[in-house]
Amino acid sequence: MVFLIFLSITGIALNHLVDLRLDQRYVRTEWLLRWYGIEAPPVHSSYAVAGNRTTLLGERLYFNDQQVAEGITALSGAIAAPQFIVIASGNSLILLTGSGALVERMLLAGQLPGGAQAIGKVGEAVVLLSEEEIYRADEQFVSFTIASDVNYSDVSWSSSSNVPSDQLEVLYDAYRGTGITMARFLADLHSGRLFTRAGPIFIDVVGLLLIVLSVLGTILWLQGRPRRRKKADGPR
Amino acid sequence: MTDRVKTWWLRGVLPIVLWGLASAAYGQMGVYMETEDFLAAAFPDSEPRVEVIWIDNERREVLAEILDHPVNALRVSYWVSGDKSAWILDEIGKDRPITIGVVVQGDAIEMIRVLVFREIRGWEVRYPFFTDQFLGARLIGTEQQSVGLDQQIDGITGATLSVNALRGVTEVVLFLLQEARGSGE
Repeated sequence: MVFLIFLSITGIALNHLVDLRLDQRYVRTEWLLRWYGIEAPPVHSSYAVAGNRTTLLGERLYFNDQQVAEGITALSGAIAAPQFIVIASGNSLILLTGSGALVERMLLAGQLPGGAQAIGKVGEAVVLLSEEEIYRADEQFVSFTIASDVNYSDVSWSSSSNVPSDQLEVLYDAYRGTGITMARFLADLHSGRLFTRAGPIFIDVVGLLLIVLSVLGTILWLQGRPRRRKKADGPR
Repeated sequence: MTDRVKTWWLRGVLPIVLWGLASAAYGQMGVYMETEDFLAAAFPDSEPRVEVIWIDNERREVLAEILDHPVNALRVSYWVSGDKSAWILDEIGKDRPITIGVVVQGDAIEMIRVLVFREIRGWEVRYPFFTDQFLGARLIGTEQQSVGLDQQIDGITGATLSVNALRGVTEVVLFLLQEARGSGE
């Protein structure tokens, strides 16, 4: 009985995934995440910038504990420019507002042939290192020109640093916290997949039993009421 | 079917078939075209310049309607040379972003390519039999009316979300280009 109610409730919830926004909510319970084997990957690199921190975990880029981009495979520095926080990520620049809102992930193809290998500042100007050339960015980060008047040693380059352990825990939580949606969890619960390989088999057996019970019940009902037949037959 | 044949199927053939299918699916993930190659194909005879369009609230609403989800970015860069523009945008298929390149000549689609595909399903959208449907497509509708393409795009069974991603990005590109030209940005 309890089992049937459980199946019904999870089934109804699965039917209304979008209405209940279950595909946008995430499982955050620690033991459940461990059960799923969700582990955060090691930190690729991390840079402190204007009292904040940007970190690449796996292919996800975080600004403090907020994910700002994914599919990122390199992180080569971050600096605070007058209008933006600028994160250099190989073949792209990620521009954020001071509060960390995404302005744009800007591809550097056609502008910096080797992508951005390092980022730094000379005074207020932002410069990028690409294939041993130093490029100066304009204020809007739309065009880049070779800064022949700037030497490597003139630049205050962004350098990576270790993530403090308390911030690392927060980051790992953020990473794991978007691993499993409630929709996936409910589907696994409903199908029995949550309980190892035996789970779906158990659910299948229960389903078959329910079918057998339903069919047998219908047959008995169609055969009439046994008590009346007994009365009609009379005592032996 | 005898027990022996059943065992042979279950232990021998089935795992190989499943492994093959899984490998084939994962094998489709990856970089199909580098950004530089895409730009070279888009502008074979000229050096494009970069321009940007800012996404204000009105534009954001239209983009959210097209893509069926909120848009976070505040601006979009694209490459321009003469009457031709090239755009590279990411759009989520099911779980992960698909990087899509679109070239517009005048106000019609000239080329569309899947540059990076990161999902395990729906990769068929990269093939010309699908992408060729977009060639010559123009935008209908305006900021006030719902926007769409003037050509029918047939879907692919089992790749609906990837198909929607390509269709959405194409509409976004044509809409932003129309906006950029209208506002002189």
